[in-house]
Amino acid sequence: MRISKSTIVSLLALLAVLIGIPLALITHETGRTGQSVGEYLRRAISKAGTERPLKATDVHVPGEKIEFLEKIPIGDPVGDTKPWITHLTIVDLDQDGLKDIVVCDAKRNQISWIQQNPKGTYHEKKIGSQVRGPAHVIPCDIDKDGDLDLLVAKMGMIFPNNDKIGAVVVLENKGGGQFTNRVLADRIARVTDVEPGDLDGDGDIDLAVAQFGYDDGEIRWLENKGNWQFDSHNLLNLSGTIHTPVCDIDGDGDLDIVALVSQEWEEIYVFENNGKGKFKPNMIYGSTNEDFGSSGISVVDLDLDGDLDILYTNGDAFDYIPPGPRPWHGVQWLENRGGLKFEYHRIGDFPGAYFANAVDVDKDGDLDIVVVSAFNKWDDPGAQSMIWFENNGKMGFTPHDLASDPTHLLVLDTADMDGDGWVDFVTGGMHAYPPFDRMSRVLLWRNRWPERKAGVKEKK
Amino acid sequence: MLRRGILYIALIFVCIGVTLFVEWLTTPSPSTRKIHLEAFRYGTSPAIIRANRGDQLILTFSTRDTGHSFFLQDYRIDAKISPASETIEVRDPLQPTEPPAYVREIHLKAGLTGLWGNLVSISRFRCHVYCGPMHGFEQGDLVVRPNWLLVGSMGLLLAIVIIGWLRVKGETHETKTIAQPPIDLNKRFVLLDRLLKWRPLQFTCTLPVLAGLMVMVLAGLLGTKVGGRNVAVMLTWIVWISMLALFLVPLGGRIWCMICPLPVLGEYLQRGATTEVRAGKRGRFGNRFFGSGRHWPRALSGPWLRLCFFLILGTLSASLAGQPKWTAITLMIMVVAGIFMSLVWELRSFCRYVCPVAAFISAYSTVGRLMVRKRAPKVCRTCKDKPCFKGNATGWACPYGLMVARIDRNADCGMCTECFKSCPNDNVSFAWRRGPWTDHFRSYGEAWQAIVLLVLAIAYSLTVHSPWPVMRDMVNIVDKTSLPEFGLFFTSLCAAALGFVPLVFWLMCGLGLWLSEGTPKANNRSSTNRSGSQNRLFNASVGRIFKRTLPALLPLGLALWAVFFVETIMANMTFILLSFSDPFGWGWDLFGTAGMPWIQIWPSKIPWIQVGLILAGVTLSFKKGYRLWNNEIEVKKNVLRGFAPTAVILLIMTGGMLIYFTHY
Repeated sequence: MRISKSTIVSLLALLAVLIGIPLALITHETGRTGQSVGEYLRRAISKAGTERPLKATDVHVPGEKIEFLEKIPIGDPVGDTKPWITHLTIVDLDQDGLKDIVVCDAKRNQISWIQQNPKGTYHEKKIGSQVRGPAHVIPCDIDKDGDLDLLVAKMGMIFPNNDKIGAVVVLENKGGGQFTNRVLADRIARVTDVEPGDLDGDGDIDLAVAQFGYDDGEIRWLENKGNWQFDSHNLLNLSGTIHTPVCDIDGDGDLDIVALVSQEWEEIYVFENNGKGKFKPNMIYGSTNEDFGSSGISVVDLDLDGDLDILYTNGDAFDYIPPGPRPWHGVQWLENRGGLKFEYHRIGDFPGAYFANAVDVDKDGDLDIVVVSAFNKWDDPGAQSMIWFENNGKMGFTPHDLASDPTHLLVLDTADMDGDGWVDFVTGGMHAYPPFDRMSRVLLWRNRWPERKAGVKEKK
Repeated sequence: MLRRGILYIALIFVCIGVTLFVEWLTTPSPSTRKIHLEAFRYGTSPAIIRANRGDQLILTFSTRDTGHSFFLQDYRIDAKISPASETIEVRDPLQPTEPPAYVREIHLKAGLTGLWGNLVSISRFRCHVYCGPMHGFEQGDLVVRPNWLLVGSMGLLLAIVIIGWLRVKGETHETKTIAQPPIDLNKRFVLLDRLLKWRPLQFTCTLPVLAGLMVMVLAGLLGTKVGGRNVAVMLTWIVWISMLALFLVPLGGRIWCMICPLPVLGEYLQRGATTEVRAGKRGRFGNRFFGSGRHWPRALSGPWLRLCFFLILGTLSASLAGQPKWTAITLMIMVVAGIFMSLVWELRSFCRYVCPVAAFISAYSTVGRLMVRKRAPKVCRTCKDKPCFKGNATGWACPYGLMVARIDRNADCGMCTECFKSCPNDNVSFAWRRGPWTDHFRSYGEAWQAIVLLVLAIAYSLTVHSPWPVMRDMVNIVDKTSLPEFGLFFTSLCAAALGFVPLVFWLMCGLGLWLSEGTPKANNRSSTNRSGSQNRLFNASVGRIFKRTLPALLPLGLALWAVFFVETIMANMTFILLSFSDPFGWGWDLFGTAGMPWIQIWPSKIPWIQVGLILAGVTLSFKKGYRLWNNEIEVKKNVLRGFAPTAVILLIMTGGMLIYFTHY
């Protein structure tokens, strides 16, 4: 049979359409994410959204209850408003040897400083001028003048909004408790995280910026050119980035950026630095569940093997109506296996898990995990808002109940606040949704482990 | 003639003027009013804000669930609403780079300024924050009295009826114009003729569309799940369908079928060729085919099956439009069905009997301007081999099972151009219609098709574009309506479209028949028609007159579909450009339009365009209906009597839709 030239050309064109287009896309995506074709296809095929409702029995995480925390409200009282504490950080801001707390209050659109002075006494005061929709604050001596400035991620509005209303703001410490707002980047997609680090190895502090946006988000880094001038470099154009911690995750001596991209993507990227500010994206984790609800990451050497792992919570439910927990909410860690390979380990379920911190609660030499929940089934008075997973030293975790009151705990930080050698917790409440009967703003949870009372072991 | 023209214009002025005057007279004077809007997934309470021109409106907001926005472009307001917060972020959507204001209430003066602003009575507000899969359908209306559009359109509708009646009264046989013959395009343009006979034409036209389909399927499966940001949703449910309803079908008839990528893979497999022809003998055909080549079951032939699929797909379309993945799966199902059917049944059985889109295209292509026809009937009569039907060494057998000699309407021919290649006598014309469209339905199925499409056009406007959330929720099976509730809605819709409305038209035709039958002249006509042969009308059943009358529904039906899609496309134009630039929602910016802010195209003019389309549609329907009856009856009085009951139903439908679109 003789095949004509036009048939050959048409068949080639047809193949280009039917095979070439998918191949080109897959090649592009594998290049973008650093995945192999197999990995990419496996995830693409199995990816699905699901909204199976939570069973009533799932709101309680089983485990022995050990009572060792003393709950103390600090800073301004709740008052008539419904507090929206979106982030807090424990830091000795005035460098007087006592731990203070810096708070993002999205209801007041203000950064405030809960100063500990004298020891055990806390006073809250506003610092700098208003920052609308502050989402994240972190201390850093960005101008290298010897005091701590504050890097603030400004969302503009906490709730969904695709407008370019975000900003990167520095509250420059002028000394004497005075701070001045400086805007480093303005009118950009809503900023959820700003993290400092010398990303190009030139000795000054650059910034990794997470921009959640809504439909249009971004990850960028700001190169410090000196004299408060920054050049912007785009790393990724996806909506939903929450956290961009800066760390040397590949152990090559320079600082990389780890990024959690939530929304429908539910991915974690490592932007691998060549030491000079050139980054190569690598997707190290991607959920096959489009509704996974990624809510936070922290980078920590969880297994104490000398490299950095990633502690990861998924419990976001802002986009559900009503905003409530899902059965797959919980905590996991990605074990660093070297060569930017990470192994996923589920630590445990926890409805509405929003942020986790690895800390040695019981001083047994390993890192336990404390987790807060913002979206448990709050109509149930027993629904937990804070639990901890006890590490048995072999990376086996046992859950323990901590608290059901207050509800809606969005943020958590840990440090030895009172200098007794035991790590304490500080939490912030975000009360945007009912019920509003167990509200909190900023709470200090003093660790009294030596006086602990063991409770009843619950069964699921 | 001139005097009559002046009379008609005067009539229009009087009809519109009186209604406008009454509306002006009855509109209360302005006052200050406080209105609280509660937003929720997917709507606001109240859904319609009613005001009088000059009212000072103080708007406050809250949300029942997640974040929403109150996007009222006509008044340059985009207010973002957060849960548990009374503060709203307000910005001017036309100046998106300006910093927003943070306020607790919006002060608004009802009614726009300027000449055009004074005419605007309806302003649609929408949500500009993705709040769930069906977010794109969250909408409500600000209606300001005097509602010039409502009363003006009603006045004009009245004028159309009166002028129509006067024209009919004044019409004589001498005034009847002789229809101009169609323009034979491929005779006039040699290049076009060569192109139509060029074998790879269809392949070349289809390939880029197939590539587009491939991108759409991949975008649906792999891209963002936000419908407004995914090219699968934008192209399928907005660009493609809108283009069909607004341009391709009214102008090109079934021209889309020529480049449709859905059946081509199956066709290539069936033919075993892409651009070439395989001559040979396969049954009655002069080509060789792969597959079992069975005849399509007679019981399933006709438009019923595809009409049912259209009904199902159309009712699900709102939910599918909110979910790119399911849009992609739907497209894939259609491609796979096309392949499967090509290998089992002969020719393009998918297009002829199953394709839901063909139900729409086929019905309305009747009014299309482009058509494939024979040139000289005598040449066809003397043609023994019928290669246009059977195929030969230069062209494939007609995929639609047609013989060019018998093509006298657009409804069946998919313009694949094979007959241009196979005809040895160069007797196929690609023509541009200038006279009236051929107007007959061959079966009850076709008549039902016209009714169902008309009913669905109304039903989709009443649900998908409704300002009332309860109406929109009926077609939302993604996260509002349960399957049993949706089933109830679907059953009711089917009952109305397939049962109740056809029954009404049937009865109206029967009534018309009875009314015209009762006159002596009509009785004379019953015995002879113009050519002197036995007249069939008054011996015929109501069913026959039903089939004869219902083509009159096509202009109004098409106008109502156009009305539906005008709003869809004008409201979403920037999302279309945006998704073209970033088809997968992966942060691309191919054409520099990915980050553009959402702006609707002339939102205040949308209701005016809709009203214009409806009035144009009903005018053409009246005209067509009268002509159809006039073909059967000589006596004008009887023609009017015969068509009057059907016309009344069309008038009621039109009036209802005008009131609906102008929201009184």
